[in-house]
Amino acid sequence: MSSVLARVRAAASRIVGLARGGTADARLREEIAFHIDMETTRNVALGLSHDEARRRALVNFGGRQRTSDDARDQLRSEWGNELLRDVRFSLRGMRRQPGFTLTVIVTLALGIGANATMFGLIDRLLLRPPPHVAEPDRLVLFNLTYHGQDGVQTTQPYGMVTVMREQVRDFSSVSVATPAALSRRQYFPLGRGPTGTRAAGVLVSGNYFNTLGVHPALGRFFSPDEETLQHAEKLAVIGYGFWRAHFGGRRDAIGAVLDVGTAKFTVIGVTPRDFSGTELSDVDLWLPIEAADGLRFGSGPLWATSADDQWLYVIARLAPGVTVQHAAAQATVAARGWMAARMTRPTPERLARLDSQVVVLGSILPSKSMSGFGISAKSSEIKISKLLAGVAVMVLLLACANVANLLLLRALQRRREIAVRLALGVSRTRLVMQLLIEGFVLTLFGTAGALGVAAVASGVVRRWLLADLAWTGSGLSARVLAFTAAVALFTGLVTSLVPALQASRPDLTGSLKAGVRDGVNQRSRLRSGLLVTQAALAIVLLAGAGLFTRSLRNVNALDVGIDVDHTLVGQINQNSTGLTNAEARRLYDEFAERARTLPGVKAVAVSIAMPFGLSWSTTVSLPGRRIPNVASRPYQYAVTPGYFDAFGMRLIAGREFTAGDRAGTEPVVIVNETMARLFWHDQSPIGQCLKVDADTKPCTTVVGVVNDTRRQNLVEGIISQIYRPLDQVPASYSDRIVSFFGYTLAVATRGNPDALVEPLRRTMQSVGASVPYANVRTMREVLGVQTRSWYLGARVFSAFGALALVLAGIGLFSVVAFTVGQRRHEFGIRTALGAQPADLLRLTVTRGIAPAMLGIIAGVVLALLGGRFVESLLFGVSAHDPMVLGTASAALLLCAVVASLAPAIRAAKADPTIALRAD
Amino acid sequence: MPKGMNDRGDVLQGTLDMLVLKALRLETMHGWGIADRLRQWSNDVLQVNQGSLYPALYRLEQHGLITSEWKITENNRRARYYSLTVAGTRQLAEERKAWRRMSEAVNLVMAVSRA
Repeated sequence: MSSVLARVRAAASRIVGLARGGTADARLREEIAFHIDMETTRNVALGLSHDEARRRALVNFGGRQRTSDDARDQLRSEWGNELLRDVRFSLRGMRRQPGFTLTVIVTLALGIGANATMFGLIDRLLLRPPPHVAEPDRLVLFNLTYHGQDGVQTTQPYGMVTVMREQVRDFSSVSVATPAALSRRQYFPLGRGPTGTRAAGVLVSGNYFNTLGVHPALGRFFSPDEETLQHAEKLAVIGYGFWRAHFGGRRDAIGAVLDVGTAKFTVIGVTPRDFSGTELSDVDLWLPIEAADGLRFGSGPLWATSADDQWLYVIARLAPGVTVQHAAAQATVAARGWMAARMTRPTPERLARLDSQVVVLGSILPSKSMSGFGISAKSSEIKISKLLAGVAVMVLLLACANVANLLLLRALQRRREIAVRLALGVSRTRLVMQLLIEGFVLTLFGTAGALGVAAVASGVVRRWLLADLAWTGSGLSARVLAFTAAVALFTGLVTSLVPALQASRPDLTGSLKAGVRDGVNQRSRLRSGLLVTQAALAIVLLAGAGLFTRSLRNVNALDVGIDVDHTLVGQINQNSTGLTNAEARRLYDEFAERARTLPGVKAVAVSIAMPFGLSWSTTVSLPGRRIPNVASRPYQYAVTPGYFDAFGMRLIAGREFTAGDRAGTEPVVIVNETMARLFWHDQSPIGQCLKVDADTKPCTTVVGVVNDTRRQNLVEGIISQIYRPLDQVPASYSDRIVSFFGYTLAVATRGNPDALVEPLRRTMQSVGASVPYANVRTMREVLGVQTRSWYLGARVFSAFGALALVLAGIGLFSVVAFTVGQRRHEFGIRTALGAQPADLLRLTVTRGIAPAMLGIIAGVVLALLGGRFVESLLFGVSAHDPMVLGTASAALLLCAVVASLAPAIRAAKADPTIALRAD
Repeated sequence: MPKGMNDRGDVLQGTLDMLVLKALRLETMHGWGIADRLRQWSNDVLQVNQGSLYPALYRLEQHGLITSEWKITENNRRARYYSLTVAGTRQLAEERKAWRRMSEAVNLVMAVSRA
């Protein structure tokens, strides 16, 4: 059998040798032109019209493969509007091969759509300056370096702002705002009682909007003096989205009164659509900084005088003509002076230390903000979006490879048609143009699909992945459309130019002689290369999906010492209610009482501080003994009985707190395992004396030992923890802590806690008409902030990995199916000569699997090399994890087998007689 | 591809060379002339596909069975005329013998009635 093939091939190559070179080509061209003229003349003589005569001559020439339509179009396009005809010709070709066309369009739609989506995201996060801000490059963000530490302090006390305003001439105005990013944002209770809700709020100085140079969509903004003056009437500016949602976008929103916390605020203006200050997160309410009195600080004008609370972003506008460096130097002098003046006991050393602190002025432009303000709030989004962009580009390359391969195959299939056209005198340039136009027409349809994909996908990204960001604009902005057009142009060029150039250089006689069969049989290095590339890219994406999914699973499986899956915590913003600590405590006791009656609730407790919430440390000592330094400042939790059940913790020894552990009874404490081990080693700590807060205090008796829990991070060092009965913590001590932290209601559920979030919130808010919005979260959600990057990574890589697998599968399938179609004749001969279906099956499946195997090897190498880029983003799994790489390889291999099997079975079933008679 | 029989048969694979040689046995002809002649002789049954004809002509020339030269037709157009070489004449005889054997064999097979 192989000798037959060899001889055919040898013959072909000999003729190729003859036909190569201009004279042979020219000769063939002239002969064919002559032939068609003669045939036309003959047809006219038989009584046909000239057109029909020529058409038949051409039809006859092209053989049955070519239809009359093509030939006529081809002929007319010699004179007529070539572009239009080429387009029409392409459309007709697309209609004739719906499977091919659909495959190409879907592939392009997915590839380009993924990129349009990611561009929309990155444009919002990284490229666009904050919307509606005038001259954003003249705005700077004030940061202060720490003494002897890396990083910068991004938030400042209000006193620093006053100093900057008074002393730094280089700033034309200095404004402040509280953080709005998800991890740091504040919600203000809106309304009271069962219907109470909350709004994401930012406190700003009166000159904030002026400094940013933004104009209201409706009404007016604060005037600069509205920051410090005590107004009889409190004023609020509302966000565009809030305006639409709460007031239906009506003009009479101006003048409306909002119950925020304990005060009433009158709406005076609406910010423009998309405006989110210098940050990315959506803001519902903009309140003057004086509102901090009731909302953030308990009472009194603390917001202006508190020097320790670093809670404000400082945003300044540079005076005209001033450089950033000059302003920073001036600001540094002013800042050092202010800090020196604030020192209660200035010593020469302390004063000298100030010299190491420098003001760093960052940019509000997202692309430049890495070194400045918002570093912690934005960096995770930035890191994620860069990763997403990289992944999207890989998917695009994959799609390009796929489409290029399909077009290449089709061009090969049409080699004879192309050869005829060249023979007829169609210039090579025209032919390349025509093939390019075909590619572009396909790309155009693919791009239309891509916009649909992007519209849906950007909605999904916004809702599921980055829900907290301000996304008022459409997913398909003009910039996204422009980007998509550019990507489409690139894709169209890449995918059609290579096949077009390849196809326009056939050897005429060889193609004419070979019919449609040969030529495709020869293995093409380019085609195999594209298949290998596809498979390799798919492996990289699948490996990424595996690594992030395993990281997420590892993180979720981490033992943090509490039952993350069955715990709810509920909190109200105590500062905004105007309640005293004692009143708040009674309220929480009522919450606990009612929560206990909810179905599905297992245990309930009230506490100050909680795992992964705020916590505070204290000093402890043992009478007559030295204690290890590392454990001398344990973190403390003040809890009611039932706390350990509510968080699913384990009592290791001794007893829990009971209702009998009240103020006035014997002071007791429960310690964690680490503390028990560090303080008492092998002895039992039960009954031992521990002095808490100061060694002058009376003994506190250890009554129990519980398991360790994490304090605030998923991964942290060993810490000692103590638990005290809530009623035994002296009010003088707890007051400050409570006014800062508030209380926490902890609830253990029997089943899925998600189902109890709303019931618990309603229960809490219906306790009294004065209760504000209750923030009820599952512990899973509390931890979510920390697991977010893995969650995002796992989701996105899985989505793109699946996409890559599908694309690679389509690519392999179409190539194998096509090859099988083209080799029907050969298979017929093989069958006629006694080849069994199994032989053909093996022959064909190998075709699909060989490039997949090569791709797997290349992909694994790529994944190993690229691993170090994601290493820092992973958790508990190596970027070189053999399981992950193995699974990814297996998935792709399976995909390759399935993709090659269907066409292979068809090949195996081929009827040799039909195959041999064809063509 | 249409299945089953055509009312206008294509030239069987492998027999085209023989038919071309046969046509040229009579006189020197250009490509279209050969195709037209075969069509006439076969009462319009054999339609020579030009996509096969020219490669066949080139192949035969390459093998030294025919030669070709440019000539002017009756209508004053330049055309490539092909003529048989001595080797071609010999080859034609060979193929004719082979064809006869083959067709007789096929006829014998087809003549067998179902027992």
